[in-house]
Amino acid sequence: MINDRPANRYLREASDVAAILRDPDGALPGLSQRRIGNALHLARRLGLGERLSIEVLKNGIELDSKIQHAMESWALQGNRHLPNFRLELTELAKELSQLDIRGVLLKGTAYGVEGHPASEGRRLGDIDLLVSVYNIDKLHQTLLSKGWQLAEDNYANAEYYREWMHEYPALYHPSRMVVLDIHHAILPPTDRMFADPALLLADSRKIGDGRYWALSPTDQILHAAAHLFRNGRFQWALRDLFDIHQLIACLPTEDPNSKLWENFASRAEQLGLTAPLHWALHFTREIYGDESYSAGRDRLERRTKPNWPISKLFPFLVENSISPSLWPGKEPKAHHIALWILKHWPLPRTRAVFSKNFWLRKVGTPQ
Amino acid sequence: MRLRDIPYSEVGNLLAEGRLGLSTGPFSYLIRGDDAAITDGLYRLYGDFKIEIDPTFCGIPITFEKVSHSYERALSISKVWTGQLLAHDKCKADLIFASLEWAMNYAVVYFEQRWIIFHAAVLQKGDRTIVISAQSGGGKSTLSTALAAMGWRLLSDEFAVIDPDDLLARPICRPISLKAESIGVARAWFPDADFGPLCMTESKGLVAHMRPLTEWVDRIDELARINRFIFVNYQAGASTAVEAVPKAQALVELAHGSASYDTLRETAFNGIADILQDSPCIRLNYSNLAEIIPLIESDEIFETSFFSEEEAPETS
Repeated sequence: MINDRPANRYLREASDVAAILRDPDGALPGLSQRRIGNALHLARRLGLGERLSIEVLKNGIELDSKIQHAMESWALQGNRHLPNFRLELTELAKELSQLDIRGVLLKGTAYGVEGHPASEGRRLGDIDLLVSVYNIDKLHQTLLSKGWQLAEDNYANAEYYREWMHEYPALYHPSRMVVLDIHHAILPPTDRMFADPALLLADSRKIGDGRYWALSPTDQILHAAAHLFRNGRFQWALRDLFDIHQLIACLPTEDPNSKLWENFASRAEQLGLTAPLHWALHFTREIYGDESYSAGRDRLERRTKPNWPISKLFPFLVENSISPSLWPGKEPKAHHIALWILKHWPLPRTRAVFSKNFWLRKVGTPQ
Repeated sequence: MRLRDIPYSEVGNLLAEGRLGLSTGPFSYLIRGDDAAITDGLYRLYGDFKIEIDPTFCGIPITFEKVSHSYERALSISKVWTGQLLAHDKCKADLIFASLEWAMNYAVVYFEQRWIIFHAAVLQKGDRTIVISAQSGGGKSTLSTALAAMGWRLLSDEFAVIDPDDLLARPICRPISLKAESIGVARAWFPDADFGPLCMTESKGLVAHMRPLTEWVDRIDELARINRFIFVNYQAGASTAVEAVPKAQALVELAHGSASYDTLRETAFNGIADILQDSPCIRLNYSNLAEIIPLIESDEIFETSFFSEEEAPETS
């Protein structure tokens, strides 16, 4: 029984959240109203409130009216994001096709357009788009000339993004107010890991009605892992890991002879993302996994394991950083520096520090 | 159990530990904060509301986190959270209670998307239930306080909350937020009422909250069917002007001012349209309350037609 499992070392109080997400029909009958309520309370703090509510309502378990109403509110919110993006996606697709640029959607928007199960109830903040580095200037300029605007007026920061980040300064169209991040890579140039965007683009595939592209299923996992463990914040770590868990679950593994996991390993090596892949596999197993994983997946997890002492230190530091507390404002501070170093190992290039915009953007110079 | 049933000293402890669940109609708050201003404000203004200690579930968590402790209380600063959202970054000690009220409003907009919610006051007398909608500073609270003084029951001063399933308004009875001169006016109408601390705010000037009457809070579970709409606009020195508002226009304005329209979509559209079907809507510009209160009281005001006598369309 799932409910008899000892509290997870990463989740602690939020163990019920993972249990409900993993197997709603199995977990819910064993939970009291108070525990379901607490799970919603915590899930909302983890960015998982919408999905959890959708799963609970789908199960149809009898709920206190207060919990029922709160779940309805969150389930409704979970399904509002993609429809709100639809117009922006249409307008953007027109510009892309006129310029003949392949626009690869990343993360949440890609899951949504693709209709992937991971998109259900997933909050979308902005549209993330990957294009070739040779096209990004052209696209960015065209959008600016067609009514899109820079999302912030800190000129130095915009310049800093252009120079030192893997994405250009964010845009939005004033009539739609959807923020658009255009990437030319998935990791910043200062990062010593270099996941070659040309390889990612070469393997991308059409999704939805064919106006947009997405990374290949394995590259999507690698990107989600790189995003979480290289440049993401751990605030939404459990949400991001749940994404990865679902992406892995949807990999085509019916054919036992398929070289899925072997190919996955060589792809990770090719892109230089073995360490993020290892942690993604490790933490999804620890948090959302069950015992029935295939031998191929286990082999991959062992094969990508970083060396001691990182392999020991990292889980210890993560443990104290992602477990949620019931109340906000109690984020653990002690391990943050150590965790930052391990997340960014090998340490990033420091060239950016010598550019004037690195410092000017902190002051904020209006255009 | 009601808040006034437990001793003041215990309220402070419960709030500090985050164990006090407060219900205002369909919304429930779990408030956590170790500050006398919170305890004091809640005790004074929310005494009649239902509470639950260690509640099974509360929809809206609100946290006050002290970030700078100072020997001078006036210098201490708190962060105010609603759920995981930072509602107020640098809240000074003298704004604590006002900030709690704002966080409670902010949270309704963010957390309670299943309800059709718009920014309006709701009052009821007999079988008449009026929604008073206005822009911020449009004289909504003043008018609703005036009607309340005439014996109308206040369901809500800040939000009209409607269940999309039965289209009935849910009372929430939160304290009335009054600004500047309205505070003095309200004190004159309700000499016995308790008021929260006077707060000087940057955006709204002087603000104070009036305790809702015990009778309103006692009837908080009595739902109401909305059947009148007033779009009100206060202009100092303006003469009273009343005009009928076409239903389609009213629908657009209500949808525009609705916090949950984007989420509920068709449900909200159909709900608002259904309510409007049998409800006269008027636009009211006023400066003199004494002129308009009798008009609203006698229900005359809602008989305004789209056309005045002279402009009536010619029929041949």
